[in-house]
Amino acid sequence: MTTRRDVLAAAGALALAGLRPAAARAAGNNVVLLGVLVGYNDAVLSTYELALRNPDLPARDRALLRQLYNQAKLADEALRRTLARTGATPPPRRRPGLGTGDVKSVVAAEEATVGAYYVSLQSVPDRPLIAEISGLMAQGGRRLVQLRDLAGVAPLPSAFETGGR
Amino acid sequence: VLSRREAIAAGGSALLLAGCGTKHARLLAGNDADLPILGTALELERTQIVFYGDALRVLRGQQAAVARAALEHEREHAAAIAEAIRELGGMPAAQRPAAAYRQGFPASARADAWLRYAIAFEDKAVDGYAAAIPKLVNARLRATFASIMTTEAEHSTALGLPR
Repeated sequence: MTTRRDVLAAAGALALAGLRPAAARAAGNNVVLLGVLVGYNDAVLSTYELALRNPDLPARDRALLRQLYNQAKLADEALRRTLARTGATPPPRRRPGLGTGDVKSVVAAEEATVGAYYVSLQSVPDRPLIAEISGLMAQGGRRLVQLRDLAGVAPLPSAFETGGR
Repeated sequence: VLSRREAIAAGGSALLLAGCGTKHARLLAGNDADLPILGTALELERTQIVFYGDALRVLRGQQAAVARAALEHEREHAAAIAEAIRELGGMPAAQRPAAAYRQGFPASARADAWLRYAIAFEDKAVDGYAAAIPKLVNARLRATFASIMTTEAEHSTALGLPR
């Protein structure tokens, strides 16, 4: 199964690979932060893609997972657009391969990403970005409920969803 | 190519994401400008507490289990928000009688009416928090509100899970 450390390592590496120094200087910390969040989302997509390749996945679960993957992809695209608007070049998408192809890996990656949103909101000063990140965090929570249900774990584990942080 | 300084800055941010936020962002650094928003949020949570208390008389099975979990969560949200009000130097408003919170609740005793209302109510709470979060001055409070908003979104989705 994918661990939080795997996702963090993947996200950080991708962010560092994709950022352009000049753009980072121009737009300040938002660029670095957005780069890291894009990295987290990329890791999420990677776990979905591997899970969708799993031949043992029942058809009904596959349809739901595909639907959630499409939603996660929209979140990734939105963050990449926001990053591009700062003048930075979003990093290229990684190839699938993170995780072990089971739904619990997707849950772990989505939780890590919700946790990243949660922590980032403590440092972002920019109102439109705060609105975007908090909206993406809520969408991530909605996906988590369905994924946890699919994985056979409690869908509502905490009164304060922080992705386990 | 990243310069050393930029690489350190980016790495530092990744470490920040990795290492911080290990507990709820409840300890606030005192700007009281957020007190009106906190007061509104507290009343919303109190309304949800009354709502789920009533809904549990009607809902059954999986939906009742979700409602029970949501009721506990709303109680924790209300307690956290009241605590935040006190930390910012304010005083939480006194709780009104339960009847004052019941305006608009379903008149029907049918479970599907209560379920529909619960989902719509949670979605409305999400919208309310979404509008409030960018206006908050205290950054840690923003994160706490976002975690509450995300939990409300989860309630809505969990209530709609196939039976």
